Amino acid sequence: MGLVARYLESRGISTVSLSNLAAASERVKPPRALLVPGPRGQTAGKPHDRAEQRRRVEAALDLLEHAQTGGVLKTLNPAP
Amino acid sequence: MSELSLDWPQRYRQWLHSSREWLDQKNWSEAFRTYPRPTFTSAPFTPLVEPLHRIRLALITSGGLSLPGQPLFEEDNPEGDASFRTIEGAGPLDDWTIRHGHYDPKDAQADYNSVFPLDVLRELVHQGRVGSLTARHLSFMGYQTDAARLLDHTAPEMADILIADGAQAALLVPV
Repeated sequence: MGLVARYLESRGISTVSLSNLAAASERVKPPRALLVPGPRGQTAGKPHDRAEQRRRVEAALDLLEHAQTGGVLKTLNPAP
Repeated sequence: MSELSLDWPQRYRQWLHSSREWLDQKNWSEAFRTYPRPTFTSAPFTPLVEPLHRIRLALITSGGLSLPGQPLFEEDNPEGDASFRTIEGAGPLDDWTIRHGHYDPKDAQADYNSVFPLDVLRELVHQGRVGSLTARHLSFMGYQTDAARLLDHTAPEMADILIADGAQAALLVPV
């Protein structure tokens, strides 16, 4: 997914990625990535947990809006 | 020409040849021990052109989601599946199928928002936080081994669709 993010960014589309693999993001360096806890299959939050899904998406969009440079990997704050 | 190193396709073919047996046995840890992982030291950067509440956003998942009538992703192919699906429609998805083979699809099959948070984005548009969404969103299967094919064919086709739909930004959700 990081490769796709890099490609889209090079075509003029600003991207932000959720990430559940820190090592992969550090290696591929997507333009903006938000590291979220696992497990795989619920990157955007547990099924039907709309509050957590929304918290993750909003945190990613905040990063999209405020990142000043490419290659930033931020970690999502722990769930309240 | 992708941003991969010039010798990447050759290294990939050598890896595929030497790892074929592990791949066929689905022994991923052995198969990928010698995979030529693309590595970069910097990232491209396109600043947002406008505030988020005026941005048109696209959603992309690599969770292997397809809609009724669309081909299912080939989860049993050792090299993965380089195709993608366009997801359109104004309301919630009535039906969808996850094929990936490299993660448990149970959660995404119960609620697509876990890997494809379309309803969440629609709420944010409704509340004025995000300007609008593209008419089409994209789904592909993250498990695919040929990065050159992804970057030379799949990614350009996906970008063309997003640009045609006026996307200024994209949220990418891997699994």
